[in-house]
Amino acid sequence: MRVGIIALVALAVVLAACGDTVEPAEPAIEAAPTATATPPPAPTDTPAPPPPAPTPTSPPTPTAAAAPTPVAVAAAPTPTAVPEPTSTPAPEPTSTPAPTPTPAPAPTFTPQPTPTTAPAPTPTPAPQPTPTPQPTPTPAPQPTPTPQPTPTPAPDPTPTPTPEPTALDLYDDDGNGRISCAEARAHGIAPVRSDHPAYEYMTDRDGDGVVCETAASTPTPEPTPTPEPTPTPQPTPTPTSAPARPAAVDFSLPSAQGPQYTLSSFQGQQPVVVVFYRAFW
Amino acid sequence: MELQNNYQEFQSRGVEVLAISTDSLEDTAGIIAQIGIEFPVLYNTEGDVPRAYGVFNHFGDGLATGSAFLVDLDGSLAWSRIYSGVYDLITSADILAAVDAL
Repeated sequence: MRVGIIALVALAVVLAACGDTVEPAEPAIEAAPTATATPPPAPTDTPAPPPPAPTPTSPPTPTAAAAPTPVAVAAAPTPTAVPEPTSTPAPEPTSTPAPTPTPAPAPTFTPQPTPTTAPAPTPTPAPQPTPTPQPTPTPAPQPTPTPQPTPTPAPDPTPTPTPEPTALDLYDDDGNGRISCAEARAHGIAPVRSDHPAYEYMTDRDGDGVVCETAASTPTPEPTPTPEPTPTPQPTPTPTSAPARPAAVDFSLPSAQGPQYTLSSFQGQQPVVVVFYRAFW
Repeated sequence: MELQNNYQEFQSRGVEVLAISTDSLEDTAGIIAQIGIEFPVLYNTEGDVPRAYGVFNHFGDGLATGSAFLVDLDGSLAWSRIYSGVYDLITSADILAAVDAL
């Protein structure tokens, strides 16, 4: 009796189990179309771990999934679109391979979230534009040095006004607005020629363009002939060429032919080739 | 020998050749007669002249090193060639090229 009861109970359990497995399969198909609703995320998480293995074993399934993949990439740009791609491709697989791929669609779309890494590159291009603005600041410093030379000419005009007053102030010691020969000599500018700034403040009585011609200025030309000794530097170039070549060591030796020969005796007469032999001729 | 064969080339350029040997006078005279050398061959057994030119006893044999020096009209050293090998022979071509460059 007990055995018969146990057998009945076991049969009942087996039947019940079969009924459970069949029923969930159908809702699984229906679950896909209704995936647009909130439930999908929960079921996809659960089956997710096992699917990775079947995915490589069933090539045809990925081909169907491959089509939706680009769609998902297109939708990828928007970061929040991660859940959207899963919902969009969902209806397609359910329509075509409806019966057999039933388990397939769930796993194939579950790994697609892995393209979640795809959105990751999307942020990467974002930093790229960042370096672009960097070169922009680089040319900015270049104009900076340009203004630097600008201030340099600025000081030039400043000293220009300064020498104008000093022309008279430098030599007019008594402050009478005129420059005398005594003052010119005291400052060592006599004789003053017409191109000198002090000339306009002096009186050129003979009108020869030179003021304060004195006996002292006459001896000045005398030193001019002094440069005549310039012939002295002329011999300088001659020794300049000599150092370029060292002087040959002079010698005076008897020859096997009889006469004595001295190297320096050939100087100014003809060049000489001195050859040293060592037993080999 | 090689220099003797080209001695006319030097003479035609107005250049004198003075050979200096550290061999004994007898050896030098014998070589002159054997080869028929026409240019002056000076002997300097003491080696003081090649020593002054920096070409003496390079090989530890108490002899001059084979070498040639071109002395210009002003007594300056215009060119030189020192042969590094013990058995190197002086060649006229090198010297004549230097003479032509004066």
